[in-house]
Amino acid sequence: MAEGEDEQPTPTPHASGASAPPPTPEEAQAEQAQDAGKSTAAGEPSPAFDTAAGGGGRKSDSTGPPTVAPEAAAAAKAAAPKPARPAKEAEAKEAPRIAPPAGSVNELLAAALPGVAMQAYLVPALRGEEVAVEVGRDDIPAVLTAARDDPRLELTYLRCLSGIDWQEGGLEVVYHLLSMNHGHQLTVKTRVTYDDPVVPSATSIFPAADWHERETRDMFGIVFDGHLNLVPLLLPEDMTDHFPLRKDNPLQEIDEWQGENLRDGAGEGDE
Amino acid sequence: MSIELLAAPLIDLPQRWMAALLAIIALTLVMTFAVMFATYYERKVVARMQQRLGPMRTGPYGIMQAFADTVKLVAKEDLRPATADPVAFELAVFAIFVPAFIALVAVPFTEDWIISPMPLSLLFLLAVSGLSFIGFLMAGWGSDSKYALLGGMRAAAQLISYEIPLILAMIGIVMVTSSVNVGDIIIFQDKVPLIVWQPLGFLIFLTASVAELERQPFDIPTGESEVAGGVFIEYSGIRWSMFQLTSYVNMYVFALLGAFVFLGGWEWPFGRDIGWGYQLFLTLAKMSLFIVFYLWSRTSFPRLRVDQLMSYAWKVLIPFALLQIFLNGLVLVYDLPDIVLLITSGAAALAMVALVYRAVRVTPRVPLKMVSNTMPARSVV
Amino acid sequence: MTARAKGTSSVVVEQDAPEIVDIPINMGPQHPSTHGVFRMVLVVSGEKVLDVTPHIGYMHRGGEKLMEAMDFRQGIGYADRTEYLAQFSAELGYVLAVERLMEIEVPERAQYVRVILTELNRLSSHFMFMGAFGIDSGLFGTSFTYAFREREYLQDVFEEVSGDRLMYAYFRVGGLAWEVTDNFVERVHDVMKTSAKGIQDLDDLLTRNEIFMARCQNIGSFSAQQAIANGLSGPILRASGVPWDLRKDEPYSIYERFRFEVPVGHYGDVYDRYLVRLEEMRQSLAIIEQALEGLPEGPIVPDKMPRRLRTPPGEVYAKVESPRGEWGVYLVSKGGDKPYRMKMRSPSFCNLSALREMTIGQYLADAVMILGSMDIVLCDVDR
Repeated sequence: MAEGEDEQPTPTPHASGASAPPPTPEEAQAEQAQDAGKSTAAGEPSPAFDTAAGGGGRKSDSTGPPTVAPEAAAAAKAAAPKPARPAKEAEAKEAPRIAPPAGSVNELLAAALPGVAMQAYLVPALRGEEVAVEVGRDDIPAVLTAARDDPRLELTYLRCLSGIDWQEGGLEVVYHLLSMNHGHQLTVKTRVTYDDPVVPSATSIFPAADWHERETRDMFGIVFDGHLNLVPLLLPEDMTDHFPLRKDNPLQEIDEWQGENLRDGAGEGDE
Repeated sequence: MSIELLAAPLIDLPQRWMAALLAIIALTLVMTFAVMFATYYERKVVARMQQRLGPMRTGPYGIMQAFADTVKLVAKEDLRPATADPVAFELAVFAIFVPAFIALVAVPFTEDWIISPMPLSLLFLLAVSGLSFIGFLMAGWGSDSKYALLGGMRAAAQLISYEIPLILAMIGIVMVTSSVNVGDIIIFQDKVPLIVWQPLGFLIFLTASVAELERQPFDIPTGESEVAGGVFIEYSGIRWSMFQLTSYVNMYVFALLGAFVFLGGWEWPFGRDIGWGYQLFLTLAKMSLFIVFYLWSRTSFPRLRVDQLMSYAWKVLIPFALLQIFLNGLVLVYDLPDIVLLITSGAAALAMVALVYRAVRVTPRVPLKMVSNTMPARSVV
Repeated sequence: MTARAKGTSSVVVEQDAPEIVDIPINMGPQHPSTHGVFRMVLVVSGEKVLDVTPHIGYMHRGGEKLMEAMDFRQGIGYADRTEYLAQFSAELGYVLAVERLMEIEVPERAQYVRVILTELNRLSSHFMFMGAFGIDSGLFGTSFTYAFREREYLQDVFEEVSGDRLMYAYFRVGGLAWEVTDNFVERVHDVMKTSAKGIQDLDDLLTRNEIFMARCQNIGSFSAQQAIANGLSGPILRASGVPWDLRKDEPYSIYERFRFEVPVGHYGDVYDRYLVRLEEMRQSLAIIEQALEGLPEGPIVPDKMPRRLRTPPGEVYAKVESPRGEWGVYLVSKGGDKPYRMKMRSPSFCNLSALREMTIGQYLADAVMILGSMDIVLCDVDR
């Protein structure tokens, strides 16, 4: 159950489920009904609007997400045999970071690049199968080159390059790498701040990064230093000062008149 | 009555001119309706080959479709791009339209139905039908569109290139029949049609005529998926429909030419004493064979590329056309029996087909590898 | 004549030295063979392509942003709209991502039905490719009508199952939306028969056609190294000689249970891409056959399914082998019922980025063929 890693006190008014033991699904459903009842009874804003921005704007710890030892992860796994219903206060958080077990890909990378500081963890957080490595942005060319050229890694295929806006956490660039020869994969991440959103370009290492970087530049304003043709790709050619996928461009709120909202509390939407 | 009024100022001209004028008017009207039928027929046949129904909504079985199309095209606004060259743009239509209809002047539909019997009618037909590339160039240049320019250039290159094997194949015919009059050539075939003596020439004529008509697989100048209509891209309404009309008239002309020259026209197999009705029927039936072939090739062949088109004309068709002339010359000079012509020409025709068949398979290709366990195979790669 | 047709130069040219200009041709966004709203600016010298600049984004709808505002159920419908020719693959990638994050075990029956539908969808998508590719190669619609006949039969099955012909939205997180129709198995058997015949028809029509061979062979060739470096995936990658199929190499759902073969090309040219797709259709039929044999009875959603779909915080990169290649869904959640960030790694986008390298130096007509051989879906490119 996700509560195992919830150290932060909740900023939401619905704290009732937070410290409780892992509820069975039946309980969870009952709890939900209670939640819904409570929010309508107390005249709270509807949960649908509450979560509309994905928890954007809430305060999160500035020290970064905590790293949890593998035992804790194992304990968490053991405690969560059933589909988890995470508590609401988890919304403002990033996933806990669990160190990968010995023999993972990140050790090969660390051996290939002894001087580079990197933090490795499993993704997805609870039942991790893949390894993510977070490095400093200046190390990106070295890390990607080593990942591609090291004979034990041979991560020659760039699957995906994406950006994430972590608000207080800055902007993140995520490289999904794959080795077809060895059958393993590695996620490389790096973070930059809003003030200086510059990341060295990967196009000289992976030609596949070309359009991905242009798209990320369109959507997040992350400038890829060394990209030869960093002009807008998906957006209009003159739209260079507005970055739609950043969280400071919220979508207009959507009236949800379907699915569970209609069933659980018909009046929720229009309060 | 209207024709009389129209012809009133010309009443003093000799009778022959009057008759020719009336014949041309009649011919134009007949051909217009024939083209309307051809469009309907093409749509139905192509639809049949593609498991469709074709036009079904306008009249029973869609027979009014061509009339509806005509009304729509004539009523549509005739646009000209602002930057187009007005003279070239507007005259291009007539530069294509007029030669196609003039060619019909020399076509003997039956023994007597011919507007202007001329001793060099085969030469006249080939010469006039070769004029249309000027119109394509004018349209391509005058439209001020890059697609049209590309299409015009492609059309000019293609039409000129394929004119040569077409004419060479006809020279073979002229050698055998010792006549350049289409009527005489037809009469020559009272026993055996010329396709028997000239199979290679027939094959070359068939291929080159498809290219001259710019139909699949030689529709490179108008390729919809490449140049999006080519020279026609900026034309609309009546002008565009005149281009289409012309292309169908050309189709009739080449089909008639093939029927006369290779299939014996109205002469073979019943002789010429069967009356004009049967003669006309024979002509039209043989012409239809060619037209069905043109439609069939349209539905079954992809389009050639420009360089392949050119190399096909210059490396395959023209040498083989010259070979046909050479064979004819041998038979004529040494007075060999006709059967030699059949054997040698047939063998050469088969050789041409085999050559094309081999050309695309000249380097054996490695077939697909079927991998059931990908991982070890990949480590080898 | 105006200056535009002569070229862009205003330099005075001497009379006896004709000016030779390379013409930039704007192909698209309205062009019959760009397969949607796609534009490429070709610089041609005669018929040879000197440079290509692809322009995309005409259909960009901000799908990733929209999905941040949609909960995990609504996102399924949006995945359909992104990949509108391989909808089930797109849905599958999306629900797999959510399921992995939520750690939901999908019941057996739902897994089998998902595989059957996804493979049928692969058939229908490849039929679409065959038809459109025939038109690109200049065939007047014959392959298109043949392929669309088969596609219609397939869509009938999809309609019976999901209630919609295009936007199925039938997969759910945890299983399926509802039980399949009673005669589902017979219907799939029927449609497999017609599809097998349709595949054979197209094979007969195109594969050994001399002009088709002459047009397709040795154009747009990509080596295995180039294909990997440029991030190609799917049939294009396999045509280049890389035996990489996610159904085999990173099995998702229950693909490890089925015996099938992966066709791998040798030349990486347009013809190999066509052949790989043709063979993949036959392999899909084999997979469906096995899946129909093994289709168990049972529930189609887990017994203990939470009513609200809420994921724990975390991220996951789920990928499926869509007909076009690797359809990846990179889902980042901060907890709650909506994604925090949702990146769709669309195969069309990644494959299309190699268009420039493939096209330069080829003929103008081949540029159309190369673009057609990529089998792009423009909604998927722009998202």
